[in-house]
Amino acid sequence: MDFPVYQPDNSERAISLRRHRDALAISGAAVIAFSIWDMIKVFIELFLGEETLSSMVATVIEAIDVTDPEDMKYVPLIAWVTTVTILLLACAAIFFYHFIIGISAYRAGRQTAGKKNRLYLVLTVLILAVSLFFYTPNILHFFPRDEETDQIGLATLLVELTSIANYLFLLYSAYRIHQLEREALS
Amino acid sequence: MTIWQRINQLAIGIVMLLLGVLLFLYDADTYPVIIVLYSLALQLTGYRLLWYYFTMARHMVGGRSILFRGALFLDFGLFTGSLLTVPQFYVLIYLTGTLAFSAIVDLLRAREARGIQASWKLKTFQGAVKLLTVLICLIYLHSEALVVDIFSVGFVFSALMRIVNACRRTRVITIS
Amino acid sequence: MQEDFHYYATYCAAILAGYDHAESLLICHAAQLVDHCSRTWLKTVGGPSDAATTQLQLELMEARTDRPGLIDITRIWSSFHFLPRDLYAEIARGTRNYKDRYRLICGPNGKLLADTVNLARDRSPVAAGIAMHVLADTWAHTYFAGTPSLVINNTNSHFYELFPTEDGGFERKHISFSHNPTAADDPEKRLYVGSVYQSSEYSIMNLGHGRAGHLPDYSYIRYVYLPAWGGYREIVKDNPSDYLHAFSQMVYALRFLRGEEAEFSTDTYATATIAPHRETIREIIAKRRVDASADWKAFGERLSGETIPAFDREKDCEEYRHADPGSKKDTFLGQFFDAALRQKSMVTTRILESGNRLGGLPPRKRRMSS
Repeated sequence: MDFPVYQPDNSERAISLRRHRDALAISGAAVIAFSIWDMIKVFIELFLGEETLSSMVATVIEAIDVTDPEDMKYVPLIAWVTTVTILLLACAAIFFYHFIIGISAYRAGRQTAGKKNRLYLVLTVLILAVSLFFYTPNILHFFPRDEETDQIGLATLLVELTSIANYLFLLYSAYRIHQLEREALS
Repeated sequence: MTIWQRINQLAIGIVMLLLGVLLFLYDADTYPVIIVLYSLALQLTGYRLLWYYFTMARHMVGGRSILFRGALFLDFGLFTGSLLTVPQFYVLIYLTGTLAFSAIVDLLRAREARGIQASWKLKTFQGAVKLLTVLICLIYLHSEALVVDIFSVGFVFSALMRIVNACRRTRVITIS
Repeated sequence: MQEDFHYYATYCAAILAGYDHAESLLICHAAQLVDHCSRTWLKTVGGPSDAATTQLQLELMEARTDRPGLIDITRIWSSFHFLPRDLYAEIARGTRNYKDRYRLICGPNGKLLADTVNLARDRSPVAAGIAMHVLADTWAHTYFAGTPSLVINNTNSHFYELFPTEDGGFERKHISFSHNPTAADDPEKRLYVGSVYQSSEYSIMNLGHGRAGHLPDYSYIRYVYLPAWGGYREIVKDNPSDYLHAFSQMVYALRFLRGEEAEFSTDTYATATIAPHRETIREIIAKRRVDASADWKAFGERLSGETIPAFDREKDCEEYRHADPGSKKDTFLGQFFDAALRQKSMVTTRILESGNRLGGLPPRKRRMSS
């Protein structure tokens, strides 16, 4: 009724682009969330699991060859500090790795990234390869497990599968966005 | 908060209160009950979210986040359930960890509420007391019995705050 | 829509449709009262609780969101504020639960709108006022449903205001939302207040256009966004155009209710009647501010030559309270409650007839005949 009319771009390409951008942002946020949860589980398992922190430190102490009994007093302290520091650094590095993937995917999906960044996709491919390499045997051999480890095994399996699916979603969305953006330019 | 949500929060608060008192009175014997209830509640939330995703939310813009939330809750629940077979001392650490997490969430929410000039003081108080409980638990970690008592007091406090929150009037933005 | 449109613009439409000043006041008073007639208010007046046409924030906070609670909310909001466009809308995706919600999405020119206007025919101007509220809201509240539903009513951060440019195109600028209940909307900064994301399907925050704040209520704004149900299709909400259509359709519907049109057809407008005033109406609608009451009031007073009093919710309460039980139905509020019950019953029945389970049972017959 004689007001100017705006025609939104609802072509198949535009709809698909919005869909995959949203999916990319959600997958990015999920990578960070899963990583935080994984870190929490690593710490809990180090306290509760078979390979506890204290047994790791004991192995380190045994490996250290000290002849002077006076020096022996400091060995446990050094071993603990070293082990915990290495562990914390490793966890921080792993989290940072996931965080880079997550935040980059989120920004790419929400179109808030300053410039095009492909590094996060390389990091995702690498982590997906590592996940598949380590977790495929777990997934394949899950069912014959004994009852006691079933619940923890099921929990781990569930999050592994979801994480792997999420990496695949992320890569697929990024690929489709790239493809659709190229189509738009051509 | 709707009446139903208030009733829900009140029921959870009362169960938490009872468990806190039982934990104080019977110490370690109460652990399995807490773990089982906690695990079941988380698993049910996970299954509910997954069901909601597959029947409804997958058709919604941004609905995939519901799928991930469901998977995380389910995993959290299953993982919590698996802690039944581990030494109770570690269970206590785990529960203290969840209390710490809850304290951080309270403080962040209070900060957010303050930013939008909403009610924030009670949330800050709640978060601060939970954090204090966690710190005291960590300081007295070597004395298991004492930690159980401190933790149970923290648990009772959380329960009471939940009940108080369920009875408070809250402001929401709706439409008119 | 707010008081500016439901009260003052409705008065203008009634005058243009040929009603006199007194009748026009009755119509616009009834139209605005729809936004005030809550159960809490009905208690103070002594009116029937089933006649509630809205729910206050406090009532909503206390409302149950179990099945009976949802049915009650849906009846009120779908009947008066979010009239469903097509209760039989074809949709290939989703379970029955999803389809039930999808089919409650509000929109103009649906069959239920014709039923609403026809229901008010040969009745008092009060019934016409209620119908005008419902009609106007079908334009303002398009694309949202009058039932709490995340999968239908949710929105995300993809919100852009559209500004016409000199070359005939549009410039898109991002709209932000704050969730501070005490803050005011700031059109200059494009910062609006909206309800916070709630992941629960049945949260009250997911009722109607809560997530989009008051954007649907402002006549000047044009925006695009992604509704939760839209499958990533950008939806344009062109309020200036919609409000002009709403006004023109109100004049046409009121002419029909006065008997000047033989029948009410959807998608028909009183274009010729409003033609002499089109520029004035366009200016009022397009002016960038959150309350257009003053301009509509001035326009209405120019049209009728009479003063339009401010809306007073309590104006007719005493008359109703002190009327004999037998003559209550003849008072303004008696007529309002009767018309409201009829409208609610009609919409609920239609929802039930369509097989949609969100409508529940129709209001009790004995109340209808009161």
